[in-house]
Amino acid sequence: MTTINAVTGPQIRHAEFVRLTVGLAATVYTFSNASGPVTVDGITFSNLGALLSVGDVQRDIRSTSDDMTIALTGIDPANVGIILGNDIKGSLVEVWRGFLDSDNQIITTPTQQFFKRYQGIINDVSITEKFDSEARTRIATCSISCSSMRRVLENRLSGIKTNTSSWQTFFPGDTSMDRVATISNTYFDFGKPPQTKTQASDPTQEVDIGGAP
Amino acid sequence: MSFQTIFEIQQSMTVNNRRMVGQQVARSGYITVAQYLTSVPWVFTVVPHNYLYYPDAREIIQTIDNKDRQLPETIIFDSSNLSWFTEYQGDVASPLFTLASTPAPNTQLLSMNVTGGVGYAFRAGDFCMVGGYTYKVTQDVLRGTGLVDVPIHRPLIGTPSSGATVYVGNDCSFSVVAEACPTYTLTPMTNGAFVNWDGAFVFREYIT
Repeated sequence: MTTINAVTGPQIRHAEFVRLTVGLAATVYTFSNASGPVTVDGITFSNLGALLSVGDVQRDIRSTSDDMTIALTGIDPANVGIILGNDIKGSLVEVWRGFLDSDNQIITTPTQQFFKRYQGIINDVSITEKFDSEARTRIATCSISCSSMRRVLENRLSGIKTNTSSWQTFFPGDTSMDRVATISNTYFDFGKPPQTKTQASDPTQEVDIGGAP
Repeated sequence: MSFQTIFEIQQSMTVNNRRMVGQQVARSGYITVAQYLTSVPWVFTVVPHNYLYYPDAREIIQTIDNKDRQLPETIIFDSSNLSWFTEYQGDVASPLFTLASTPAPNTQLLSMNVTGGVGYAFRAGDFCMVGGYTYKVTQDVLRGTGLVDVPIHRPLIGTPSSGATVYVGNDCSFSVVAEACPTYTLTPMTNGAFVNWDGAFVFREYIT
């Protein structure tokens, strides 16, 4: 069980830390609300002027799927570049909360007070603009929507399909499903007397099944 | 000299250097306080004088228009009108202070080399500037042997190194950008017009 000693007193000092590991190249971007770079567990959280908000993180005793949104300033084109210039969908998102001592350093005794709050992957991004011609202001926000791993697993399709390509992915050279495509496109008229040659044409014989008035 | 002029001819100035703090009072009356770590930027709300004579103030207005809410300006409180704000109240005649060691990021305690001797290196409320950002000293600091720890009112911004110059008193400056830059209304009069500002200027420290 995690013990958060920092919250046992009436005075609390804390900061939030976000790390994005983006794309196949696993490029790392770090964000924090601190006024200077903070290094914890070998991770330096340095991009200080970008983080606007971290959405609510649902806390449950039982495992639940939860989505969350992180907002970055879109005024800075570098942040727009992170979203548009990378294969960002599916990238890893991690959020920590760090508790600080009176000199704004992460508390390390008796244990390090730096806790992961959320981990998930990016499933959507958006850039929104608020353009106010009356006040002559323009605000842009880059939003990153994240899904927890549980949500990803819920939405995952798994198993094998009864077609040639899927079957041979698991059983190379097995031709069991080769005729599925042909059969699946064939019309079967169930209840109709048996016919020859083709299944749907050229009737040659009718069978009296008897008993019918 | 545009925003600087507004500071010089101000009618009043509100200074905001409050930290980001959350408070909750329980039904039992107990209060819990949490500080959210930020850079605690300086925010100055300056109410300008109205009834400036437009032909005289036109140049000032133009320089304000040039900077608008986009470009920063460095404000210094060293004039006879403003020096009361940042005036050094310590006992060192000509302060030439430096950082004695490289401070930890976000620290609020700076180790400095000051001129040793009798009296105070800093008095509470004195201003000091390190790495381009200005801080207030929160407690009296004795000169002693010349190596002192100076508590500052907000987390250190940036990563200044050992030996960096520490400016004090009226040598301190504030890089600000206008968060609110009022428009103005002109009231015609003989051979000119009076300038009436439509609101106060709000200057926020420009931290990059």
